[in-house]
Amino acid sequence: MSWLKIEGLKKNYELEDMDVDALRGIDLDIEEGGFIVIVGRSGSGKTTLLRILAGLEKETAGRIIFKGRICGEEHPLPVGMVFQEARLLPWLSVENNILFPFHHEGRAKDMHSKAVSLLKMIGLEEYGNAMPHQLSGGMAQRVALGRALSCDPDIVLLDEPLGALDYFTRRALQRELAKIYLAGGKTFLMVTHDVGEALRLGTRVIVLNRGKIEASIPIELGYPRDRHSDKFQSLLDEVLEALDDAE
Amino acid sequence: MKFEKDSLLTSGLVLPSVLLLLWWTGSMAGWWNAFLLPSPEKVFDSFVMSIQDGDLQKHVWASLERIIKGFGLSAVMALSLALVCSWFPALLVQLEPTLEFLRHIPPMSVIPMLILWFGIGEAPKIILIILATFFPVFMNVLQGIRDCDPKLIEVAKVFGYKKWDQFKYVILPSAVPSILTGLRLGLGYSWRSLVAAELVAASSGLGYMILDAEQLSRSDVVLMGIFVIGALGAFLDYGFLWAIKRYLKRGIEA
Repeated sequence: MSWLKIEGLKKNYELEDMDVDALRGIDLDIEEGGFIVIVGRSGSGKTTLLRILAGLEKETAGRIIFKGRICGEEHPLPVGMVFQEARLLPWLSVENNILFPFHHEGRAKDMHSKAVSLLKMIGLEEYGNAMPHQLSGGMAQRVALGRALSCDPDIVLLDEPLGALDYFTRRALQRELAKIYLAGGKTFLMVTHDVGEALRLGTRVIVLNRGKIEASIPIELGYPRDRHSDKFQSLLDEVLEALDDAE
Repeated sequence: MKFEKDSLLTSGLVLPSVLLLLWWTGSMAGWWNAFLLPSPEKVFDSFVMSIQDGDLQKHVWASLERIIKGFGLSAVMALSLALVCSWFPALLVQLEPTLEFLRHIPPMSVIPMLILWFGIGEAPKIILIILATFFPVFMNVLQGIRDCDPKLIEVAKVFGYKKWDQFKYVILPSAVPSILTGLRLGLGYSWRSLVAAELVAASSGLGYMILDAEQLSRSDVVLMGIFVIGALGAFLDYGFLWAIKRYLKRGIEA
């Protein structure tokens, strides 16, 4: 039995009398504890796939099975999500943003120590009382990552979380993401445009093309990865080739 | 140009100081008839005398009581209706044409009907203040709720927030600046409508004091009343502004 199985997932939009097939039958088995990176051109359906997994959109057909149970509104996937923009709530402090998944349950007040350990993990232990407008883009994205991890989800969804950041911040956060992933226990599903990033972080790279899976390439490299190594370069070529074939 | 913090230039007191100086100089030099514009000393003397007599306190309290009742009721009604309408958009569709019609009626034009229906007691005065303040509060609350960033609602959805919790923890807090702006505007409108409200057979209140002074040809008291209304209104407005800034700076602690 697969840990997370996506079967025949389809998504169809209606745009001004035009039918758009965003996903045209995705079949995917995701292993527990993997770091799956989905790459593809704009409009290939990467974000749609992630949004369906997050419960933000409803699939037109197909199903998602987690630990043998079909997911839906009644049984959503246990996910935390980081979006392309940090999407912090501007009226909440950094600590309260991290604890946002607990506010509606009234448990946020008792979770100060959890917030402190998460703040430490994302390297912002001194910023618990800061407000979102006082943070840089990279810091805000770290807080968003802390928020996604705070509810201890089985699956962390990352929708181009580093896309809007400058090169240096992006590299620093890639290293931190790898560290957090290695620290344990979570399955990461990340969407990115950056093939280099996919290779630096992923244990498997999925190439998506026009709503279908073009290739699924396992990345059997340890961390940290040497991007000048022959193995890295040959895997990079393989992913780029799959993307070229997808044209 | 660089301003020193808290200097006279940045405090906004330059223009009032210049106007006061001009007023005082003009009065001393006899540039105008003292009945048309009494001197600052005369207005100040009336102010002191009115305080000593206890008259001013009585009128200020009577007006404040009307503002508190009128504005308070109006704020509660506008807030409640805006919240209900944003929760049930179909209700807003039904109410919108009626509300739009009512919004364009100047409150003062309904004074004769208010007297006819409610007599000359406190009710028409309070209703007049309600009519003047309801719409700024209602429209701002509604707009604040409508303007909530849908991306933030998505964040709440991902973390399992049901519809009511999304409203309580995301939509409502994001609308607070708009709600406070609406309340601030409403409070300003309530002061503006006060004199009109106290035209309705009142025997106390700052509006009454001004009208009474007009009949007694006491322009110094009229001016004093105007200054008191302006000062109290500005004081309350600054209080509100301070609360808004404090809220935005501190955020809501969960």
